Amino acid sequence: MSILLDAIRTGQLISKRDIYYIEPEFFRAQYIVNNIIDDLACTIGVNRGALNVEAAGKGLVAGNFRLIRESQVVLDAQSPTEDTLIPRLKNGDEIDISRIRWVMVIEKEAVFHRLARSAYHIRATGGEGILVTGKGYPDLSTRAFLRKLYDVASTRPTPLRFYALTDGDPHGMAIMSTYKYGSVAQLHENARLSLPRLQWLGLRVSDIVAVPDEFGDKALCPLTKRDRNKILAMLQNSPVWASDGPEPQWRVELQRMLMLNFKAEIEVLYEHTGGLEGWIDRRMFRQE
Amino acid sequence: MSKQYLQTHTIPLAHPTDIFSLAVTPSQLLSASGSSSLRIHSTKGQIIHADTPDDEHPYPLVQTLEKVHPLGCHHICTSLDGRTAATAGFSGELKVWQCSEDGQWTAVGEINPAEKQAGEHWALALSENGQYLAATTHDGRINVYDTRSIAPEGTAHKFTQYETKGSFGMSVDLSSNGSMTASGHQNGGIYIFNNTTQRLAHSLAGLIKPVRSVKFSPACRYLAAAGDARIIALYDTQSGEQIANLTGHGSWIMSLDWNWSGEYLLSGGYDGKVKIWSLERRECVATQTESEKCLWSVRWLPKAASARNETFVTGGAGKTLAFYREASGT
Repeated sequence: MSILLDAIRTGQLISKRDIYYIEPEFFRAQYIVNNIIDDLACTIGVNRGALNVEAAGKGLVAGNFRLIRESQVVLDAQSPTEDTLIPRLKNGDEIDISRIRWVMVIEKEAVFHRLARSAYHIRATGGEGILVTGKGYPDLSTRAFLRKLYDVASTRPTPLRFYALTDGDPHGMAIMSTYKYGSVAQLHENARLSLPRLQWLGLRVSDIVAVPDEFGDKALCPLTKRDRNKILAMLQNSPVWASDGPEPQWRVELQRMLMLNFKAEIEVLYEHTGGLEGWIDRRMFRQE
Repeated sequence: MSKQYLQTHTIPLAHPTDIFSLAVTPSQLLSASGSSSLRIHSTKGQIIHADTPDDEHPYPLVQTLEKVHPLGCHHICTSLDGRTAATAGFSGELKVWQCSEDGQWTAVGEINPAEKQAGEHWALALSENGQYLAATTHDGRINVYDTRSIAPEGTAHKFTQYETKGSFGMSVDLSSNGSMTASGHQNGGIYIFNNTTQRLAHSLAGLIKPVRSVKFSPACRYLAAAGDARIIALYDTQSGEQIANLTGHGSWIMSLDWNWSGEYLLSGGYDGKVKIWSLERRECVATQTESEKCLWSVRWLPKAASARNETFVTGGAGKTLAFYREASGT
């Protein structure tokens, strides 16, 4: 309560996540903090905003790493059953990723949950990794967290691979571009938060078309007029997709999508032999 | 009895990215890709036995048209007489070109889509003398423009507009005698229109998946159609009757072409395989594989009077132009 009083007195906004991280050992779990806040708000008869508690960032993470703040482990994200919210990092935070071989950035929350629940971050044939989702376009906290992983990993002799797992459609590719290069809206943050070595694991439409017998007829959806217009806007307006830009393979994939007039959702891989996890294992192995 | 084809020449990295479309004239090969340039190679194909292999260039690059389509070019076509060409860019712009006596191409003009229909023009076909340009649209229409009426402000007189059920028009062809227009659509629809009456002549059944290529035979008697169903359907253009199905491709068929005599069909697949089909025997007589990369377009080179054996060329995601000729003696 004193934390909330402070926040109100100083006019500062604080998130439920921030509150938890002030005394993680005391609070023991994020959901406990969430419940206390909601109970307090309810008892007083106001909404959460009146207590100066703002919506926290939305990114989720799973993986066998540790976040260390002021010599204490404040985050342990191994659990496959509970979501771990991506923390807002502070100066001086350290991340122990000594066991981690790869990081996967996932476009959709549902796919993240599928992989976290099946403990893919522990069981992958490519070794242990970290799963991250920004639930669509990533917010600054998520991007800052990923950048921190990148910076920490740059000091290691063994490289850390960064993969993006998106739908095979313009929306997914635009999200991937935001993770790697930043967004138009946050230009001043871009260089600081870019992920230079992010590579596209999939799903590409061409992946599905190449093996027409492995997936059923429903595997692909026709592009809508809106999809096509979005692809044209991307090709036209953004330097990322330019013909002399940094990603000629991404650019040609957008053109191929227009040629084929189809898009693909990650969920089609669920029915695949070996499931989504098997497909990722094989793809990671091929791209190594 | 099968035929043998040999790969006689390749031009790797003919374009910096996927080659999406090929077109031929009696003496040239025109190619379009995801880059903004068009490339023209000579196909007169005189094999000069030079001192070194490097000096033997049967298909030299004779012209590059730079910065033609900023977002890339997905379709290119030529008139049978080889004097007119048309190209469509991903932004929806259509450009018309003419060839001079000495084989150089220059722009005639441009047909731009209306603002809210960006990206609208898709597949293209030119009439025998280049006067009429047929272009499909995203919502299944086929616009036929008079290329002689292109105005500087980017418009052209529309000779006619054929309407279908609204499914994306993926392919189009004009018969060499000018009498028919055919279109293939994403929902499997195939239509033949009578250009004299400007009405629908046939709605052809048989393919239920996207139809990526439709081609009239040289004598206009047959229409071949193929696509994601992995079969080539053959129709009689007068009766509309389906007379054959050619099976054998293991992947989507992206491109078809008839040879000059109408005896053989050429087809290119998503799996990189190109097949030659005998009309008489209704079966595949040869298969060639350059790589497993998608072949977006395959074309016979027009048969030179002096040549005994026919040549064809393929282009696709491998960025390579690959030339094949029938092996002598078969």
